[in-house]
Amino acid sequence: MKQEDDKLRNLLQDVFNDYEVTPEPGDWNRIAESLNQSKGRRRFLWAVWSAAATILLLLALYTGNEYFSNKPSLATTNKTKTQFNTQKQFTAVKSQTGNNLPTKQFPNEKKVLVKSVQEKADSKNIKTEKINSDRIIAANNSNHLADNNQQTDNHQKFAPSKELQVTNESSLTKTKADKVIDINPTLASNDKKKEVASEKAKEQLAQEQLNALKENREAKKTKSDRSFILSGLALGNSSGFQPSSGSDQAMINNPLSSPAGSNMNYLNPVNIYDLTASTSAPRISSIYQNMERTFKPPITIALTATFSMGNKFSLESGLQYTNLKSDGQVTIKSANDVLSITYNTYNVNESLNYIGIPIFINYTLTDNKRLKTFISSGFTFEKGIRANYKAVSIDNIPGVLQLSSHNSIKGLQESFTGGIGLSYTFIPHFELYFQPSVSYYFKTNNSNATIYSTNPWLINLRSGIRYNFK
Amino acid sequence: MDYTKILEGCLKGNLKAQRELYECFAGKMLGVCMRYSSNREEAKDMLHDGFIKVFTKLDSFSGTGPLEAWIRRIMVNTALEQLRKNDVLRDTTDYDGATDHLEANVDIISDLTRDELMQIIAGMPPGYRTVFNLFAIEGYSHQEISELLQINEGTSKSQYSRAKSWLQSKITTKYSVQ
Repeated sequence: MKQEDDKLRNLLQDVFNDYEVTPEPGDWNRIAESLNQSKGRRRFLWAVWSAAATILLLLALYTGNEYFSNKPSLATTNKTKTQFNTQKQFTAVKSQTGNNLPTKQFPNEKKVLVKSVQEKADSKNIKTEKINSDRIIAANNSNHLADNNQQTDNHQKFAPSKELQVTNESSLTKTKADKVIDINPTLASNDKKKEVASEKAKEQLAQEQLNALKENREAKKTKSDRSFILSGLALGNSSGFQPSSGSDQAMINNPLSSPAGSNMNYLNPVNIYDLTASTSAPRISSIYQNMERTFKPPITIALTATFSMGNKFSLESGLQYTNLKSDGQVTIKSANDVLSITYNTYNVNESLNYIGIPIFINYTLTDNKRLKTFISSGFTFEKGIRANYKAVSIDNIPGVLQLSSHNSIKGLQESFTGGIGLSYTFIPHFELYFQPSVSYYFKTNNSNATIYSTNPWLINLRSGIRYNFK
Repeated sequence: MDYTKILEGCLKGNLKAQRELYECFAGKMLGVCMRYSSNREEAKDMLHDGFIKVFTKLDSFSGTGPLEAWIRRIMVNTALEQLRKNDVLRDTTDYDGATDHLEANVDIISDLTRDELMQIIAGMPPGYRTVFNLFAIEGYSHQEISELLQINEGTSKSQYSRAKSWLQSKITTKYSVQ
């Protein structure tokens, strides 16, 4: 029976081995039509997949935004000594009214004001200066009269506070003339009621200034919360930078208190930038580096190519451009004239540009010709080209409200990236790829606070088009 | 024949290359499909579905074996899927455990032309025909057939025996009539 089966099998296999039936012409047309439909379906699926990937990307961006919005930056951390906050500002403003003055916070201010008063005393032919000098005396006298011994000690200890008080009053004269000018200085030492009224007016103005600054700050905070911060990168990587240590031509002038040729029209690199104490022109970059600020999503555009190394390995390299933005707010304390102090707030934007060379090794995990999955790791070396800064006043004060400057960027930022990716060959040799990655940004000797120095480990999504040499 | 260029074109989705590949194998594959079907229309459906699979899964062809054997395997699998989908293999298990005592006479079968044989095979019940094709013509073992059709090995053997008996009876009837 087995032999019979084998014999039958051999016979039938011989008979049907080259058996053919001629198909009809329409058979191919039907197949071709189905193939076209299949292509269309694949395109549709690709579109759906792309849309899903885009949604995931946006979700990642949003998540990153939330994450960074709630996380204090290194810049903020570094500002513990100098951070400008509402409470401190309130104290500073209050100090100018002579109440509990923390003079140690503003030592320079004290010196400058003492000097100012002496200068004023030398020029008694100026009416307003007379008024202010008298007011100093009046304030001192009133304090001496009102205070006990302890208060007298305090007064001696914080003697400049009286001067600050006067300074603030002078500011009132400048900004709220109607409230102050009607105070007759000749009666000030005698008329206690008017002095009290003046004190109240000063406190009121100080409170107004405080409220205005609070509002500005709140507005800025709201804006920062809404700004789009990325945990990593939508389109690639970027790095920190090192600003030049050379001279910076850019300075911020206070619109109200910047008389030509004055040494007091530049900012100090502190949170309340005290123009009254400055004798040199600080650089915007150095000011900005000490500011509390919000990092915006880094954006990288890259042109890369992969070179097959055989056995599923390939080398990827090319050229990339990265733009890293951040913004922040700075409040400037300045002297309009000798005894007048004003506060002006600026929005400052920083834009860093640099080019880089990524060198990655890719290993193909799966390859069904068009769609590939791969793992990738490698280094990126980036060199800063230029840092741009722009400061815009938000106080609606006439004068120089917008300033800009630029800096060179020193140093080389290195980073290591590892991730897993998906690529799709949409036309021969050209791949569209998505590669969720984790990057580590190495510290540099001259590291400034950037999103990378603040968060050296970043999750990002590399995406783009690359050429595949095969 | 070297199919490298045709395959490269097919992998890029080139319709012309796909047609070339189709024209190379369509006749033989339609012959395969005809053996598993009871009529030409059913065979054409199998051929259509089989070639769509060939073109969409061509990137999984390793190139280590003959291309024709790979395409033929896809066609057979497609034919089986279609038969299963149409529930025509259900009677394969209906005769589990059945025996037969008739054997096909090989000498008589060898006297038949290919078209005559095709005609007889096409007339077989689908269950018989499928097992007969797989065992006697494609060269599968009963164990492989049992896995392909998800039936017992014994059922496969039984079906094959019954198919032979059915074939012999048809041939005998045909010759006795003549």
